[in-house]
Amino acid sequence: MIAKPNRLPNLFINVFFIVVCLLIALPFVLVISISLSSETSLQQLGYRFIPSEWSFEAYRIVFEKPETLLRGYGVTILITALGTALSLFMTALMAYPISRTDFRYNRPITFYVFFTMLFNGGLIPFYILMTQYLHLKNTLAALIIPAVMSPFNIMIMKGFLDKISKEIIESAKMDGAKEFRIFLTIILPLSTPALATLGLFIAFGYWNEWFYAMLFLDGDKYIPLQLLLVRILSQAEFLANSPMAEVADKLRFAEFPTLSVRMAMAIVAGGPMLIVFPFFQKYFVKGITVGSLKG
Amino acid sequence: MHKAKKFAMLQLCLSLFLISVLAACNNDAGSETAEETPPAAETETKQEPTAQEPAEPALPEAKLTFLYPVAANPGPDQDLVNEEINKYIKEKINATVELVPLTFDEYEPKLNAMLAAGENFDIAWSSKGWLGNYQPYIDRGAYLELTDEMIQANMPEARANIPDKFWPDMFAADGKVYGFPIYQVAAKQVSFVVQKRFIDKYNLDVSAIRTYKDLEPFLKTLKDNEPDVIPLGLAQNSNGFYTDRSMVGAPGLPVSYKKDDPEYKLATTIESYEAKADYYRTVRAWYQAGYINKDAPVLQNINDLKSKGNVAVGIEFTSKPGGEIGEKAMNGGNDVVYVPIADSYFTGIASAMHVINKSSENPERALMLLNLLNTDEYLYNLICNGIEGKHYNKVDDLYIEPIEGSGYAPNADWVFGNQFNAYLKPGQAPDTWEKTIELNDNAVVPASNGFSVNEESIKAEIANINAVKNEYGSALETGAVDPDQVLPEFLAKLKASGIEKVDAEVAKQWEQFLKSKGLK
Repeated sequence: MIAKPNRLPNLFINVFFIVVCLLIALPFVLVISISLSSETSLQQLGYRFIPSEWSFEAYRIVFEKPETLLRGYGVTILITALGTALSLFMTALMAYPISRTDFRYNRPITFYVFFTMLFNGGLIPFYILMTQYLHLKNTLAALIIPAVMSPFNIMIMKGFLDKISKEIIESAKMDGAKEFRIFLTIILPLSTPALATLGLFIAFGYWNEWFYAMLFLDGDKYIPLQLLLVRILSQAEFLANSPMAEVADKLRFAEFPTLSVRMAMAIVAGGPMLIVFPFFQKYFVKGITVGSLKG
Repeated sequence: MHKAKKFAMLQLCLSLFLISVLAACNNDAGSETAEETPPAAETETKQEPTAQEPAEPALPEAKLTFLYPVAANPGPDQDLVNEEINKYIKEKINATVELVPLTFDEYEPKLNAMLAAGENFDIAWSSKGWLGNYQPYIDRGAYLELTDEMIQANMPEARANIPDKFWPDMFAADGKVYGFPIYQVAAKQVSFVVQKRFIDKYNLDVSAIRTYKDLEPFLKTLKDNEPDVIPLGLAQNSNGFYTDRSMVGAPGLPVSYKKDDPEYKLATTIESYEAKADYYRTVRAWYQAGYINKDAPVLQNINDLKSKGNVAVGIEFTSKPGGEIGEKAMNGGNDVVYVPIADSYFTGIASAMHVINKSSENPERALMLLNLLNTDEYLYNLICNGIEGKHYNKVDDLYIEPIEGSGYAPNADWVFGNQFNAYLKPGQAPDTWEKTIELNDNAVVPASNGFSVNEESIKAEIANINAVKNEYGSALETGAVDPDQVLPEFLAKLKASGIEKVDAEVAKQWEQFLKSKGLK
């Protein structure tokens, strides 16, 4: 070996990544800190990493009506769980045949899927389809069905499945397995990394779902968490700022801690996903690099 | 193999083509049926007059749907109040209504989608230039035209409440009326917002202040005696309080002209700025004397400064009776007084209105319901405040006290009907409505009401001019720069950006507008 290992590059790399980590972590800390600061201290001193005046007011407002909030959590968890499971299964089911080169129509169908990624009907036809043909207005399915199959996810899945050697399928066939059995007991277990990665994407999508809820749901019954939070916020902003708002309500809401409530909501809404994320991580790395490396 | 591929491709293209054709057919069928329903409904309702044989016109039962925006979900008792309303209007006009409150974020996309999908609802809320914007939906043919005959036949009382001089504001671009206004404050006035504690302390005679110049001694007093207070708080969104009572023209109006000029000769932009030279010098002197906060030209939002409670005087461009109460909270809990420095200008009654969906099956009945909402105090307050004793308590004839957490609080009196029928809520002055009506009635209706500039041919110039205005505007308006030096420079740049071409174009359009109005 050479006399002395040069420490400098190592040090540089370490410092660089410490800085990167801080850049990623600090905004989160700031968000938490803001959500715990009192509104007056925020207005006078601005955002600080350590609250100059602690206050749980923002959380009190967000949790003021726990039934609605818990209900929102319930709906969100339900659509995330159901939606992700269904979506993963359907995506795999779609992607597998078009990844098989011995399937006669694999190219046209791939193109068909790809085509929908480039062009879509737009909001109004979508709305008409959902409400007048499928009659999904005011149902929980309206939150799940639109996002079940995304062409982008199908393409990612297909990309992964393309890498699975076809000999496995053939040998399974030799052993007498039928197509469904191959799919369920060989292909699906083999593609766990891809499924986990997609699952995370899809779960995030469902977790953050509010637009379809806004469009298709009347009343309060199935309001997911995110829409609930959007509503609380827009209500506060409107009442505090609009000249249209009733004077008496304006009074009440001018003291509404908009700045800290916003951050508290970010934590309430995003927190659970932050906790889930590390459990997916080990698959995540494998799944995402899957397209770049063989083996 | 190759052939097979080609064939598959062809098949795919063919199927795509077929699908799109099918979809197109389907759409046609859909719109046809949607269009066919209203005439059928019309004939049905047209039978009304013939069925008039019994002395009372027996109206067939009708079901209505009413979409409106609210800031927040009104609460779990929505259905209960709806039932109560139905009981009442069933007796009156033999109709029931389904109330559909939508929050602001939801209102526009949902309304848009429902109209496009031809969904069956009757009444919606609309406004000019804001949420659910009037004109674009009319261009799409989404709303029913309300002819004078229809209004006279179904809602004469409600129409009588609206001053005729305001009515032209309801006209859409084609000169027809598609909505019925929700009568409320329809004028605005530029005012100083002065904290009451300083008025009391220094005995400021508020009534003596007619224009911005009259404020100077008071600002000096404040500067000399109140070291912690900003005498005049300005920011980018609060500056520009120049007013000239001899001119007609206010911020937001497309043109300005001399008040007593029968020719309505347009004041050009350059003239307007030259007329402001003295104002700029005054503001400059104030800024140098320390009356104005130093960060005024760069501060984005004045409310950030006001909320600390040490801004003695601020500017409000849309002061209205009763608005002081809302301002109080914005001023860190200090009472404020509006001191008007300009005439009140009519801003339109079309800022909130009700429209009828073109595919409504019972447009006449919908109008009758609107008539009730605009004239019947009981119904109006029922929909605004809920059931007496359950959702609010009556304090006296004028005032009510809402019950906290009662389960119904849409907080949106201004979406339901004539606001002057509303009970007052705690904190509102007893003469709020009288004062508002007075403000409305006294409002100057500028000749330019309804005039807007078509910017098609001068787009590039306007973009340049706006850039120049952004560069100099807030610095000049807040007194941060010396006008004697900067104003000529500003005007030169405006000229270089083509302001003269813009003025000429605006003047041309203005002449045409005056001719079409018979004013020239």
